[in-house]
Amino acid sequence: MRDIKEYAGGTPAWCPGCGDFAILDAVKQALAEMDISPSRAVVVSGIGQAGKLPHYMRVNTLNTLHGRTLPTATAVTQVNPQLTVFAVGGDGDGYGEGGNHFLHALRRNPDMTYIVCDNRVFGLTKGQASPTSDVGTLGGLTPQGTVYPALNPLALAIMLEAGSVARGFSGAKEHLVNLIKDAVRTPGFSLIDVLQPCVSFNKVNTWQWYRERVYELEADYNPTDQQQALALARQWDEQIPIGVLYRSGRESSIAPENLVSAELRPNLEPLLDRYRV
Amino acid sequence: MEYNVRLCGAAGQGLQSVGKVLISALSKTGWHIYAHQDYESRIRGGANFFQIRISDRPLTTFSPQVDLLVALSSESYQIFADDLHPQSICFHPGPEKLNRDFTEHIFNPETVAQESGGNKRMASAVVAGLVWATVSEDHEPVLAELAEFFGARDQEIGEGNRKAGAAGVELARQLGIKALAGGPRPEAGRMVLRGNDAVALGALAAGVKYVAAYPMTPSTSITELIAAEGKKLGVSVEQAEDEIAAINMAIGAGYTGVRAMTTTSGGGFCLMTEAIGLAGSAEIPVVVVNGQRPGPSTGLPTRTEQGDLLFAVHSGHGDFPVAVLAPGSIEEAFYIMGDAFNFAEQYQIPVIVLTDQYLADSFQTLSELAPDRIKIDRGKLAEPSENYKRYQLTSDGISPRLFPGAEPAVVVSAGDEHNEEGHLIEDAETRIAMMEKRMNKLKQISVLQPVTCGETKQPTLSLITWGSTWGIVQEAVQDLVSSGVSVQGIHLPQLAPLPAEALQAILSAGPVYTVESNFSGQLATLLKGHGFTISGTCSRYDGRPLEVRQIIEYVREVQG
Ligand SMILES: Cc1ncc(C[n+]2csc(CCOP(=O)(O)OP(=O)(O)O)c2C)c(N)n1
Ligand code: SF4
Repeated sequence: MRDIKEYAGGTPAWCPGCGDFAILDAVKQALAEMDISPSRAVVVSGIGQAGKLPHYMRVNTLNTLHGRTLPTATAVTQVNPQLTVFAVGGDGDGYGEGGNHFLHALRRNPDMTYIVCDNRVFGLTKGQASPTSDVGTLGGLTPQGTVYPALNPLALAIMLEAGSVARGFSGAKEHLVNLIKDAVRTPGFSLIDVLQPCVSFNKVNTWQWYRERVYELEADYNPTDQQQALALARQWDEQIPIGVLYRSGRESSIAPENLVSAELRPNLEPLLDRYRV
Repeated sequence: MEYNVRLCGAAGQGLQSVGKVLISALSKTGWHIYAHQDYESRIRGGANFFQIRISDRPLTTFSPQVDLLVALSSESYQIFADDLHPQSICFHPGPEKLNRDFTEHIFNPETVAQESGGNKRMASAVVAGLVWATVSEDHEPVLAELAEFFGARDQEIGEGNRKAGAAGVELARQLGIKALAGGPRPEAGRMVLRGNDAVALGALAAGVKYVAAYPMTPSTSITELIAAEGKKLGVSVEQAEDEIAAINMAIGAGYTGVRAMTTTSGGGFCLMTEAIGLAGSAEIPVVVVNGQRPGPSTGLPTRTEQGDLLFAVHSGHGDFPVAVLAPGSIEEAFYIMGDAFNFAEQYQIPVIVLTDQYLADSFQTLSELAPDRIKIDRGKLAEPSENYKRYQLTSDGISPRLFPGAEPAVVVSAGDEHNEEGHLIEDAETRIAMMEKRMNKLKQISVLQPVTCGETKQPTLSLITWGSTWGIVQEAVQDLVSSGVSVQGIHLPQLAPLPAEALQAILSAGPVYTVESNFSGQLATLLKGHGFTISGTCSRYDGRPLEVRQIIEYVREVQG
């Protein structure tokens, strides 16, 4: 185990009480416990409160555009499979602006851990509804309340057989550390959707609201049963399970030949020969 | 000596195969060819053509003249018969003769193929033999080429095509068609390739290791070629879900330490512009090839235009340096890819390479390409250290790079404004320092010098062009000069940053015109913005390449 101070970064600009603090701590602690040096880990993020996370720690960072985290991170895994790659973002970033990329990351199943800080609202742009907001959520652009049902990213990831699919909660930090460690060790694309209270804009899904509902899956829960995993992914209002809901056992679909050789210039002679007359 | 053959027919009738066999056999026997393609946005049917200009001297462009027309469909000969002249010969499937003032023969290559002992699918070989017989008495080269081209997988099929080719030759003989007199001597060390082949080979020679793209005509075949070879060459090729993913993947690969590229056309390039800004702000090298086609929107999907110049030069919001390069020939398309990757890494900027459908799909006989002439310069690299700063302020604005994995350093890159460590900032002072650091690079980039032709001493007028139009301008200038007009042609392989001083130095007192395939004269606008006086623009915007005679007429007109 490394000293967690190795990953210490700048002071977060999040609101006091924000659920993102615990996620930041959990990422650092998981890296320390797994003995992954800051030089070997890469955290790719987009834009949003959650997207700022890698700036508050010491690690290789690629802070990209709103919604574009997953294609960028996928390329990092293809170019250097020795790196431990994380993608981090908000629900608006990953399921809204980046929704198409989310679908295709699930198809490609690249070897990485995707942590979504799911506050079910747009934080950085001050409280609009997000793709995971419930029907009726009031936001600046939905003054009458959103009329569309919430996207269920966990169910989607289970349907598309991601490497592993987990739900975490900012209020259960040690549990989240274990989820991250497990995700890093699991081959393929590991989604961790983290219930993250936004104290400024989400007045429904509060710390209190979650504490009354969240429960940990039993130690003997079998995550290979897709139907059961789907049922748990849909459990919401009264009881909300956290833990690894699903594990497909699927390796990365990125073709092995799609890994990059280090040689600067390959021998082009046989190829050029085809054009010679 | 010059001879122009147009093969026309519906999409799916094998025009490309006949064309490729012919240009390969012609180049092998010493001829120079320039072949261009005109096709519709459909997979079957329509009226497409593959036009081969054949000469005993090197060519830089096509010619619209048609000395031999071979039509594989009735529709296509009716359309193209207007392009024939009294000495032209035309072969077509009927049903009846047009009885115009050119020689015409009704023929059905499928029947000839069947009668030769082959099958209908060998009609292409009949056409190849027929065309060949009009050029040369020695038929072996085309028959050998047919056997090789079609026999790659199955020797028997190769032999069948050889026989069908011989039947085509025989047909010409029976009709008493004479081959061209004379002809060139075979020369060693030559190649035949297409514009897109040159771009792909140039990128490989420049050490590209990662290509992500979403298909869009006319650039798709660049990435397809690299994909076909990728496994052998250690190059990763990813078919992205869209252009946004494609360029962001390339940026992710660039950040991780390899040379990365994406290929697209105008509409896809539009989707990429946000990420062009990301590469500019985060200073991550990336090369984008935009094979232009007519816009706006999906425009004329399979035709040609040079309408994205100003868009490329200004792509992305905010101020940041980009380089825009545009090869003026197929040969330059190969070598310019080396410059593109070097600029991207030396200056840590996005580099946009503009080609167009005319260049992408044209074939040309060239002297041998030399990959060794492409030098790989990866720019300033740092030694890993605990306190490595990705955006260290330096006197030349260029911060040494490192890639993730370099213990004990961490590499922090961000598209948001950042400090030297790469972390987000909001303060004015750091913003100014970073803005100046990035913009300072502009002072250093300007490497590709203007190229000239014609009367460069004291020309009475100058024609400035960019991209594939250069080949056309070169021939027009040559013709004008030999008819006594004092004109120089200038090609700008680099449009941004513009080598303005170098251009100023080669312009004389006479008027300056631009020649370009777009409506508004985008190069003229660009040059005016740099303080140049432009007297007019010779343009074409119907989706077809400019023609030599159009440029000559334009010059005659402005000269009064
Ligand atoms: C292309 C683009 N569109 C919009 C924005 C503005 N924007 C920044 S963050 C954000 C939403 C953030 O919501 P979420 O991803 O849920 O993250 P949170 O702030 O809640 O952590 C938006 C719309 C942007 N930066 N870029
Ligand atoms: S707005 Fe919400 S998500 Fe953003 S920092 Fe504040 S509490 Fe956290």
